[in-house]
Amino acid sequence: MKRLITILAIAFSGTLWAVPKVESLGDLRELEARVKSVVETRTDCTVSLVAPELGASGSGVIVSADGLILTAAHVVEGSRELTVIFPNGSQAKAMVLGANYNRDAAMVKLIGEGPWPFAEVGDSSALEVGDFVVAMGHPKGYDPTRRPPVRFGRIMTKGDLEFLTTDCTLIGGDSGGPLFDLDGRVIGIHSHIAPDRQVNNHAGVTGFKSSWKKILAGKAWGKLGANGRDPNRPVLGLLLESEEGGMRVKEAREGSPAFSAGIRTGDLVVEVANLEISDPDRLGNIFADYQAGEKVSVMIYRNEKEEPKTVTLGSLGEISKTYRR
Amino acid sequence: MNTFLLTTSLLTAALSAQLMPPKIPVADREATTEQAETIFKTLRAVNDEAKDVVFPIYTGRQRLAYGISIGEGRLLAKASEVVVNAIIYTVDSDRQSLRATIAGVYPEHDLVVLNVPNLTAPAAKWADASQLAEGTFLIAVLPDGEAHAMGVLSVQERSLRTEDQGFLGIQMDPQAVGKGVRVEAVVRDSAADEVGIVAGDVITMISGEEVKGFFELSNRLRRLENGEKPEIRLIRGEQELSVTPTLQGREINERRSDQLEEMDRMSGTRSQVRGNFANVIQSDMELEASDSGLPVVDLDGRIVGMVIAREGRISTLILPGDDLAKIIEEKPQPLLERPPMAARRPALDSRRERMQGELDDMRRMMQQLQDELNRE
Repeated sequence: MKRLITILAIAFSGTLWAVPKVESLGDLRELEARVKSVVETRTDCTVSLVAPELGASGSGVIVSADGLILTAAHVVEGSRELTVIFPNGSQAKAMVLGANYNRDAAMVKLIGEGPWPFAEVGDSSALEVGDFVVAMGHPKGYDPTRRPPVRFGRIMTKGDLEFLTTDCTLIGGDSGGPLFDLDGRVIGIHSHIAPDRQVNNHAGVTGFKSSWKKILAGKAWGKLGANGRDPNRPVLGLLLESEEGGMRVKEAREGSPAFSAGIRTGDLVVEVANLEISDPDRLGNIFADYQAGEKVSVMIYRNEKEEPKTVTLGSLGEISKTYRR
Repeated sequence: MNTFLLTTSLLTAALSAQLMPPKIPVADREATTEQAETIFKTLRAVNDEAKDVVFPIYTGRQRLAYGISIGEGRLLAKASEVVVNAIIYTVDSDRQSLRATIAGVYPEHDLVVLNVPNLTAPAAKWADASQLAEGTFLIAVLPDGEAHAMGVLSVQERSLRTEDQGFLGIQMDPQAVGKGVRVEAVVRDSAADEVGIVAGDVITMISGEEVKGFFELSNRLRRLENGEKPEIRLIRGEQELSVTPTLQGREINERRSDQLEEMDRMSGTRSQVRGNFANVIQSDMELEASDSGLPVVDLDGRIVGMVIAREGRISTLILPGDDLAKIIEEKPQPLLERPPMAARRPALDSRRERMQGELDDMRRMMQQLQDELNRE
């Protein structure tokens, strides 16, 4: 395993960015060995999730010994309880926890005593285009005559909201199934596909992490595929412009949530939700973990001093009324 | 362009593509293409043995499939793709067009043996595929030695025939979970009926293993084979009983949702015959329907199978090498019936293939002219 990493590291230096190269049969054999090892150790935690009353099924992956399952938000939609089917054919019940529909991220908890087989959670933001990945799941529903089919591929591109695109081909039933890195860590959850076989989209696990506690606590919010004009979208209610070191407030209207929190025209917003930010376009990614009515910390820079503020987020629909006046 | 969510549910509507770019940005596409080219170049080293035994099969300008040499001027190919009401031919390594005729078929495997009298090629050495682990790299090899596709072994050898799976003949409530599974109804003349299982019985164990729900019981049964005799324990009222039914074959047509069908249909061409194989391995290698008959090798260059069908978006089906070795030991059956010409849909050839076809036609014409000149 170490050797492959070394080989790849050398290959990196010659290219514009880190597309791992496989240049000899030896490299291929090492790669194959790692894929096989992922399959061997991660098959047992790749489960099928069935909603018997809806007649629908998706997939999921167990990520803790006490039975926490990551899946896609659209798999749990409309269910409080799901039937979990393990690759060996046995079944158990699980409770639906919360879901962040913006990121197609959801959690389910197995009922019953563990310890359950599980996979560690990795980091999807660390992945680069060209990195090798392994996809598993229960395509077309659970099939007792086979184990979860293995798909191998690469990161083809990275999208908004931590979504990943790979050429690991997916189909109905795979939803919620795991995408693994070569160390067998969960880095994505299967979400949706386009007709192009190289466009298979996964919710990056880093997107789960940013609202982990809320989903775990049973909150459900957001809308899958919502666009920037969604009236329920949470907003600060400011007109912002990108600047070095922060975002300049071009206008803070009276009555907007940010104004009520004490933010004024001319302030420089340097942090939102404890994250440094200078590009207003990135707010969408941060607010994917929030809903209108929730409080968010905002750090502003005024008179050469930092000042923390707490903004109760408004919804776009509401705010646009304020700005239309 | 539609994006599809990936549950099997009929309820989930197609989602318009707002989430992710349905197209991969040019820079990312270029980087990944270059990466793939390097990998495919590396794969040439393992394709040597396979490239000498694979030959394209054409009718007119259209490539129907590939065939694999089994020696003595014979090719093995996918029957439903190459048995057509037209002249078929192959092209050898010297770019000679050679007429192929049908020697016989193995209908249960959708295989055909073609006679190509002037073909000089070694017979494929079939390797055992039964021991390959999931995740094993598999490569489909073209006559020029290039890898046509690389994938992994997705699913190990198994039968796709539902009639091979055990069928007890009971109805259960899919939602009920508890100690054992209550029988709601019994299918007449089924295995369950024959041993006297009746509605209201609660099945608690099968072959010594406890069952606590519909899925567990159904999964256990389907893993058993037609004709097996599992011991089933059940509770009837106060009584505990044990029965040993002889399982029948499952003859149930799987219901397929329109949405799943659409996902497969939009993802490339599919073989007309793509199911019901007695023993196949499944790979994620991306091929088209006209790629049947390609030899599949592992990283040691061993020919572990032959592509028998493109099934859908995620699946290419491969007949294992050891099975093929056994199948061709038997004499093929004579072909009794040819399909009507209309049964063949025109394949969507790529531009390169079309040009190659035209070039081959011209070569053949020149050869004929040369022959005529020589005669005079």
